Amino acid sequence: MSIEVRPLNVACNIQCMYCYQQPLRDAGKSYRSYDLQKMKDAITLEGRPFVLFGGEPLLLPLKDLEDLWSWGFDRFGSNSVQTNGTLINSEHIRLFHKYRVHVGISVDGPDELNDARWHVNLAKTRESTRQTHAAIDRLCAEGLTPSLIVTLHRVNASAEKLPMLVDWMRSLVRLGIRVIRLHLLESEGAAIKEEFGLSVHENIQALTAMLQLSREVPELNFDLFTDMRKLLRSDDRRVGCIWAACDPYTTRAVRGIEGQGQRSNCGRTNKDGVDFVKAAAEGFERYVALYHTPQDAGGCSGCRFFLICKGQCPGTAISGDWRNRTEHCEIWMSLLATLEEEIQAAGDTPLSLDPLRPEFEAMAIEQWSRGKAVSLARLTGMVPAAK
Amino acid sequence: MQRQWYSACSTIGADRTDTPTQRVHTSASSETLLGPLARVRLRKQGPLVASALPSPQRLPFTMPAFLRVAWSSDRAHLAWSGPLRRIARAMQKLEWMSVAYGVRRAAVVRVGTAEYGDSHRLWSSRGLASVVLRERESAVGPRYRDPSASSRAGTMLIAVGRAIDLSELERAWYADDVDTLGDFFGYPRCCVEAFDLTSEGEGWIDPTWRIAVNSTHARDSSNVIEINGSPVTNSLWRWIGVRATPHVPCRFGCAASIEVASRFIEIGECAGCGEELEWLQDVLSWPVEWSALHGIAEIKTPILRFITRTDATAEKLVVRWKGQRYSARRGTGRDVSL
Repeated sequence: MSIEVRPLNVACNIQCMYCYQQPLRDAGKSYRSYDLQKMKDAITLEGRPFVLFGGEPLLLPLKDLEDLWSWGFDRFGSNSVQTNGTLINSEHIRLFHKYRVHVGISVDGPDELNDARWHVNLAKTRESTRQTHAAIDRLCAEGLTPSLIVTLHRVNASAEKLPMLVDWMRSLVRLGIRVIRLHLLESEGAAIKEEFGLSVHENIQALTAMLQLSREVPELNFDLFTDMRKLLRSDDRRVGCIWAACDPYTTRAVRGIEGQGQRSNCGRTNKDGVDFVKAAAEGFERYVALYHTPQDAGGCSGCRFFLICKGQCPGTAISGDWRNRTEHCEIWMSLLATLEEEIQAAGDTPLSLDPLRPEFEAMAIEQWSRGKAVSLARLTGMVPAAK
Repeated sequence: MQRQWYSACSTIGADRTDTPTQRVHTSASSETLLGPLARVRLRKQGPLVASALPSPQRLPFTMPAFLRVAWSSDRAHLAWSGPLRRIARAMQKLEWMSVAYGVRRAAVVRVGTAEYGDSHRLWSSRGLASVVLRERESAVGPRYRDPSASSRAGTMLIAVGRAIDLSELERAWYADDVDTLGDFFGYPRCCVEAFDLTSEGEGWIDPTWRIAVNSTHARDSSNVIEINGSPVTNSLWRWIGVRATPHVPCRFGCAASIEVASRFIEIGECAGCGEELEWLQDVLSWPVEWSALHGIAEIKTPILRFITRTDATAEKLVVRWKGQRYSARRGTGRDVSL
């Protein structure tokens, strides 16, 4: 579970063409006033370390960054930030060292592969990309190795561009980078999907290439594949939120704190441009409904991967309606089938082919129907049930 | 209604034998059209005209009952949670006050078990008697926080009326005598007939879509209906207790329901609920959207959204109450801009 602190809400210095936060900006709901004490009070109530998030959090003045991170270091022993990397300078790096700030950088590749992360015009975009990569190099050189988030789309992962993307990732490993999180494009509208979205086949090709890379370079961790393998083995402990039956009314994995201390949900669920406050109670109605809804109606009925995937992230749902399963179903199903074969080849039985799977599904549905979260590991007996 | 329903679908939470004792719990406030009458099998009143429009494809499962709310902002919550709670309590009070004022012969109210004694004394002071009604035993189902109504646990269903009427009311209740109950509760005949068609005839558990179909010929597409009319017939807030009538009107703009609402409002003003009723009429005039998909209804309003159970449909159905106005500023003078 992460606490995402957004002092400047979704304000950003660049204009990524596919940004899932654009509905909020379009609705005029982004706001830039913040109160450090109110944010700290809200973080204190949560009682957990936080990630400085945005938009672009390094738009915050240095003194306020230091104020927050100094407080965070005293309280939790470390800090985190998720940034586009274009603004990192020596002062930021000094703060990263001093307050043990783990840096996550969102970047889609070198040179033209990063063009969808637009910055006013092409020249400035390329310059910003260069600055991001310079920051990555410097962070690695200074022992502050960042993790990366890479979104796959037509600009960086088409058949033509894929080899360059893979080569770039190999070069990252030589720099010391060990963790890359892959995102499929979450399209907020037909126009974005049309221009930037990969086809199902292209997405599968891209992910398969990444999977192959992870086998060749085992020190490189794509948490996407790690989680999928774990889930196929009934281990859902500490997997990513996209696999964890997220409730769009509470988004358990993400507890957002805005500039005035307001609580908010994961931004991927804000399709209406409204930052709804979390509901008082968690619920799993989406998963009960998806289990029973036929696949041709947007549900998951009959899918052997349901307990693993659960219709995946509600922020990626068909037609932007969280009551549907993910629009990327075919892609995940293909990848899960590949990993299913891998597990079988190792002589094990994946959960998807476990003869007890229908029983596990019934137990999960019963728990969700009662508003209770499900632990696959406990459900299947992988770990003892809680007393 | 139970027998017809079981022949058509299975119920989530039940095993595949679908025995009635395993039927999942139904929240009293969530989808009843006629309040207590929803638990009663309705006798057909005569030939009714079903809609000529194709019925949406319904899926063969029923979601367990649920109700969850998310506010659009902390400020909206601060400004409106109290007033909405007061509106719901005021309407609950008006249920029995309407009997005391002679507008109708009886009402059915839900009270906390601990509150029954005080309520009984209050009703007695107004010349009313009460009797506990046996309701359907609840089965396994989730209990979610409801900002306005009590959950069924720890509550009782009580009929309130004149002492000489209660024995007949009890008889009608347990005999499923719809005509008599409708008379007692003062529900418009058209609304009773609409419920009969919608629930008994067509098997809907949530009449919202059918109410919208009944209300207008204006449709943006086959699955989207935009509606306007008298706010007191806007039933899209009913799940959280914000409603102007004790029943669900057969259509937006039902003239008989407008009359019922007018009487309730008059009584409310006499009974010291004027502020709540002013808020109620304001809130009901705001734009609101109800949509249904896969058994989950999502209702979006300017200050909050909530989800509750509805019929499981393969396609998304949308009803938009266009409303007359939405003002961020409430009459108390507090800025509730969002």
